[in-house]
Amino acid sequence: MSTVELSGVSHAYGRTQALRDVSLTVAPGEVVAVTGPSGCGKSTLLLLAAGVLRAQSGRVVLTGTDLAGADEAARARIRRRSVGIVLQFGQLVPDLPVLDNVALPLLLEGHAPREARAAAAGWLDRVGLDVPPTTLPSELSGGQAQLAAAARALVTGPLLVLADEPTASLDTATGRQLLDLLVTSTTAAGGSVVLVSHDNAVAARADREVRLRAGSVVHEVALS
Amino acid sequence: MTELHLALLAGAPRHGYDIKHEHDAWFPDSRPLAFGQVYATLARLQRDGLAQVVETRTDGGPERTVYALTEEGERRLRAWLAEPAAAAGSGADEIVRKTIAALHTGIDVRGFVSRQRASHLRRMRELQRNPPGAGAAEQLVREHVIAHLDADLRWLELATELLPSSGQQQPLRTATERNNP
Amino acid sequence: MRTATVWLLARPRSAASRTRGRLVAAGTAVAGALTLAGLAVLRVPTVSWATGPDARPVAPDLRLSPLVTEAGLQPGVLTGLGLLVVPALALAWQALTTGSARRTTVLHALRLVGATPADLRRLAAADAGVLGLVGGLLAGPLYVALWLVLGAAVPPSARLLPPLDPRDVVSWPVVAVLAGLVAAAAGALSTRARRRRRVRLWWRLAGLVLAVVAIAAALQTREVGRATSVALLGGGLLLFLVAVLTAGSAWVRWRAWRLARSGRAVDVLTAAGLRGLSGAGGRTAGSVFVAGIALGIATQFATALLGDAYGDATVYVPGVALAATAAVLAVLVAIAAMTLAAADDLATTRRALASTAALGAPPAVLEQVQRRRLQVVTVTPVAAGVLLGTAVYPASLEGPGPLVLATLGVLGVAVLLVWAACRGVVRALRPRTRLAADPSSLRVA
Ligand SMILES: Nc1ncnc2c1ncn2[C@@H]1O[C@H](COP(=O)(O)OP(=O)(O)OP(=O)(O)O)[C@@H](O)[C@H]1O
Ligand SMILES: [Mg+2]
Repeated sequence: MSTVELSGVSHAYGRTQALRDVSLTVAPGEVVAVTGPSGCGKSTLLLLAAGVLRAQSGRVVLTGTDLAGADEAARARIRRRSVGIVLQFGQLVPDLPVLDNVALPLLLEGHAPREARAAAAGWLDRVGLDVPPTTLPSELSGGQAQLAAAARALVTGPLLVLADEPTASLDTATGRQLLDLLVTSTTAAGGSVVLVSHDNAVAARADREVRLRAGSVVHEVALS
Repeated sequence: MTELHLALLAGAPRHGYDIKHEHDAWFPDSRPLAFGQVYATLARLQRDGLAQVVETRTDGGPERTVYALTEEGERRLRAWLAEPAAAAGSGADEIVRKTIAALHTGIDVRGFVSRQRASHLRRMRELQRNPPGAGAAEQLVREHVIAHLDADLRWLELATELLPSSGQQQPLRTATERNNP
Repeated sequence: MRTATVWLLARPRSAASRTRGRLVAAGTAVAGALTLAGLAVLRVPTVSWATGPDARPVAPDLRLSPLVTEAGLQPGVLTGLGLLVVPALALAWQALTTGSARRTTVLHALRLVGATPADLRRLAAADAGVLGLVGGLLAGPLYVALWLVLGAAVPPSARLLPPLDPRDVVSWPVVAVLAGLVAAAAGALSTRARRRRRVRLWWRLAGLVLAVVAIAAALQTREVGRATSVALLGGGLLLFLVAVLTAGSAWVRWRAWRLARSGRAVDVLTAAGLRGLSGAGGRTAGSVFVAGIALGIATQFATALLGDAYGDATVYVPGVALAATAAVLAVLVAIAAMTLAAADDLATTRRALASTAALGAPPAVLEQVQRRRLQVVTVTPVAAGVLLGTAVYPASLEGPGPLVLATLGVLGVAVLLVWAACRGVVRALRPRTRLAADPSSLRVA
């Protein structure tokens, strides 16, 4: 069973056709890079795969569940159990200390706050974010926010990590380390990673590259 | 190449075989140095007074001549390192030649770009996978190659963006057409 | 999600969210106290001067104002109290949904990590429910204060509230719990991604007509009994309010569109700000308009009283005072609500503001934009309301002369006060504007 499977998916925002008939299958343990110029629909593809956006046509099957038949609550549950998301702009919850932000998926899942925070602290350490746990997101630099978002994505040990420009605000060395962590800690447990990036070094980490242009796939090649 | 040989000799006196291996260890991902080239260069260095023979060894095997830097050689090496490398941008790379040729002839440009991209990414992927026990210097050499491949890919992306976005690929105008609009 | 987690996430953290909490509690407390007052008035037996086969003359309670003892007048007092509840609740709701943009960010971020709609509702309900309960508990002491002012401290013929009674002690906790429940429900409701369904113009007109008919009917038929009268009057006024408030945002958007066309920097920025706050701005404009109407009506009665048309004028003084107080309070609440929205808007759009400042707009311009925005949604509506209020129900029997003079006077004072209030508010917000326009806001997500 594939981790996520999009078949013939199209999506439009009002009159802007962001994606046209795109298909993508990600196998367990696989790392896929989605690349392409600005505005070609990469982030849209990611949000569709996460079930945040609903496909207007075509089918999305996420860890075995057809999202067309899942209501918002069901999609949210799949997301918090099996998917870790790192978005382009960090997307931490404002006003919530960074430690609680990272612990959030576990807290929502019903874990005791103490355990959840301990796990979160471990991941903050692993991504190399060294700030006091009570720091608020507004007090983080852009790169630090991205590290915290990565820690939050990994804290549940997800089957699928969806990362949108995860290294965009990081320096080369830190970016490389974070990418290693995202990929190795996920694939070691049989999970898959979808990396969206402009950065070729990020794309080169993948087993397969899917290149989008103006909402359509223009090439798809295996790199391994 | 001359100065690089001087650098390879700078640590300790070496014979030709050592020099080749040292070079290949320094640049694990570039073309290995040919023995013939090593001996030719050493001969030239000796002729120009930049290196000298210090010893001839025979450790049971074939006779080996050990070379060391002269004072003049060391001065030359230091002068070389004091100068930054030329920001070449010669356009003489194979990838540039091929892409430009593809654009001019219009022969399967998209296919060419796609294949080139895949090949570069595969190479980058190999280089990113550090072999265990690789030293910092070796890793840095790899990073340099990666950065260059990345630059090539960026350039290739630019080329893709400048291509006509749909329809049949039109070859660029030939020189004759350009001259007679 | 565990209860501990709910509290962890619902707890107010920033200074802004604590202010918001206080405002929600305050609004609920005022509404609760007024409800207690209404319940107390309902306890007062009324006498009817109506004649008929089964009319029995009953002696009115002389320790209270005839406004609450006469069957024909008590519904007016109840409606007045009810009308005062509306702005208090509006303030609470405005504070609850404050920071719509910021709340959207929070909700989006939570949704992204997998919070279900039910989780979000629970969080918001817990947060709002506690605030509502606190407000409801504060309503008790507040009612006692109200009773001191309207009952104990004035001569018997002007008292609107009966003596304190054990039944007040019973209704207090009931009101408190109800306030908590209603607030929790409101909180849960506020998490719903609002699908903007446009109310058809047709429906709005129908609502308005229905409202006017209901009010007119309530005023004409004095004989239908207290319950029907209050229901008609209250329902009519409520419909009228809703119609006016929804029309408000359309009007604000229209003003924004007109301003944007002018092309002057300040106007274009004001228009953008108005469009962003068309909901809050529309509610403010609507409330100020209604307050203006109340002021207008109060002006009429005052003029009539001064003209001595009704004989014993003192009987009506509490009523006029109540209406005027209601109007002034409504204006203040409306301005407070708009200020809240504006401050919140500053917090959420501080990146935009900072970049506007970075692009070279001096702080004075930013302040001017704020002031313009506040004035657009208050000055014209209050003026229109006062004029409508005096025109709608001519009570003066002595020709239009004094009424026109009085109207002009009230109009001038009202406009001036509102205008000054806007200036004052912007002045008070100055530190926040400065802070928002600070370059350090540029890097805040
Ligand atoms: N919420 C939205 N509303 C309207 N249009 C949108 C929205 N989000 C994206 N778009 C449009 O959809 C298209 C694809 O956007 P998307 O964010 O997926 O691009 P992207 O490939 O991620 O770009 P980038 O590399 O710049 O992040 C763009 O034309 C964009 O303008
Ligand atoms: Mg994007």
